[in-house]
Amino acid sequence: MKSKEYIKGTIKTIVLKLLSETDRMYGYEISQRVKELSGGELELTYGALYPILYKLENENLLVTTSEIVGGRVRKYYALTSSGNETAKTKVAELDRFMEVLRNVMAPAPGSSLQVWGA
Amino acid sequence: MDLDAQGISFNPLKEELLDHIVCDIELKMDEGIDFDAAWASVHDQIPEDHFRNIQKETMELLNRKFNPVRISGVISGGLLAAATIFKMLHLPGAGLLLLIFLVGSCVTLVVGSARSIYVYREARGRGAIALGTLLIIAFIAGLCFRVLHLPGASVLMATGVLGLSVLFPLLSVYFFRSKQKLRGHLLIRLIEDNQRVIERVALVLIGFGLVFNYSSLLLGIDSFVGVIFFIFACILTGLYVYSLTWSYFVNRDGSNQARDLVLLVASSVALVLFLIPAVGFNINFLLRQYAAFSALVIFDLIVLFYYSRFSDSPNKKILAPLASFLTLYPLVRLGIKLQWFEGFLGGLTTNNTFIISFLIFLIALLIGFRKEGLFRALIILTIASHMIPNL
Repeated sequence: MKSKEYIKGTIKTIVLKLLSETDRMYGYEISQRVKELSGGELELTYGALYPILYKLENENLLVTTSEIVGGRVRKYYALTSSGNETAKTKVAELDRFMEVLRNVMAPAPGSSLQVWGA
Repeated sequence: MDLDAQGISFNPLKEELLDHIVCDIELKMDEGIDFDAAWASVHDQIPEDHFRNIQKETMELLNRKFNPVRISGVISGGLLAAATIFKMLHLPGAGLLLLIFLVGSCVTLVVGSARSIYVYREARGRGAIALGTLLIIAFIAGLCFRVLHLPGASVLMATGVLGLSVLFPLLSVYFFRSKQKLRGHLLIRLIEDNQRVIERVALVLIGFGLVFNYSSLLLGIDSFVGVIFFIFACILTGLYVYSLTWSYFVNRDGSNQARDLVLLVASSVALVLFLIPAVGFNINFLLRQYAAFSALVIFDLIVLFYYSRFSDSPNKKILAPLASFLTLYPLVRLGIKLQWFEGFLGGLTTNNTFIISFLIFLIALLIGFRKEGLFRALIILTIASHMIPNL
């Protein structure tokens, strides 16, 4: 699946949603979790993930802690209280958007797309 | 993978990318692939300039947000530039503009600290930031009072400097004893995130100090203003170089307690010595001179020790000898007060050819080794100290 072009506007919501389900996560863990939940269809690359994490932190939606793991520094992200509220709003907005998109993309009766199994 | 060579200078991002890459390699090794193959596979998936682009994108996203600190900083810089132009053109109002610049710097500090305390209200270290800001403001206010010949200048400057020379070593001891529990401390994070900004501010101050000092020299006027900038830059860089030890202390594994203790004591002694000249001009000239340049010798030795024993930088074989060479400079400055030395090399430090040549040499080092954080900080500190003609 060509996920890259569709995922761009949703990374922020995905990250907030994943963090709202756990105490804290580190960058690699987030990328692996997305891969796992999407059955390998979605992949958050370094380039997509880290700028968003820093932006969310700068907007005070995330708070970080660091630990030494295996001789290297690992930075954990957790939601702040305002991050939690934003997560709820963003997930609800994305849900609504997906519903609208499904309606828009539903093939009209007799559409040739139905023949293709879309 | 050398992330420095890839152009990653933003330390927090560098650490995260490193962790990400190592996790990737570990995952492949868990699947039974040997290290070399796992490394090659991860490495091949990373396009050229990928990390540099991530850093660029991260910095752009961070900077896009409305930032009152930057605006306040730009206004202060504009005032400083205007004051310099006024001074050089002999227009009235240069002194007033300089004073407004000093007040603007205080406002920038207050806005920056208040913003950090508010934005990171769930983090540790807000009290230390507030107290440090107050002490720096007391010092700047003292400088303003001195320029205006108002009473109380010495008390304010002394309060600021003495407070900082107690607060900073106390913070060092606090981080030293933290046993890795304070890794997310706000103060350390802010310093790491703003390394480049602090260095640029110090360089801008030195630059304006040079313009003031040399334009006054050429015109045959004795100007105190240029020296104020150098003192300002010296204190800022001295505190900054000292604070770089904090991130080492919070990450130390305690395997060499004696060495870490020596670093704590040596750096704290150097900081206190370095701040002595800033307490006020009531202190004996010789004491000021010896304190400041002894401090620089200690800082030089710490950097020398770091590059000769611990650094994994590819430039360490050049940087260690360079750090030892730089140790000679404060020794020369110290020696000029000895009678036998005066006729030997002492004349150097008042010789304009030497002053300018050495300055160019330091700037060349700064450009050549701009990716070496600790060495860069030491060079800026040396430049600021070098430019102070008489402490």
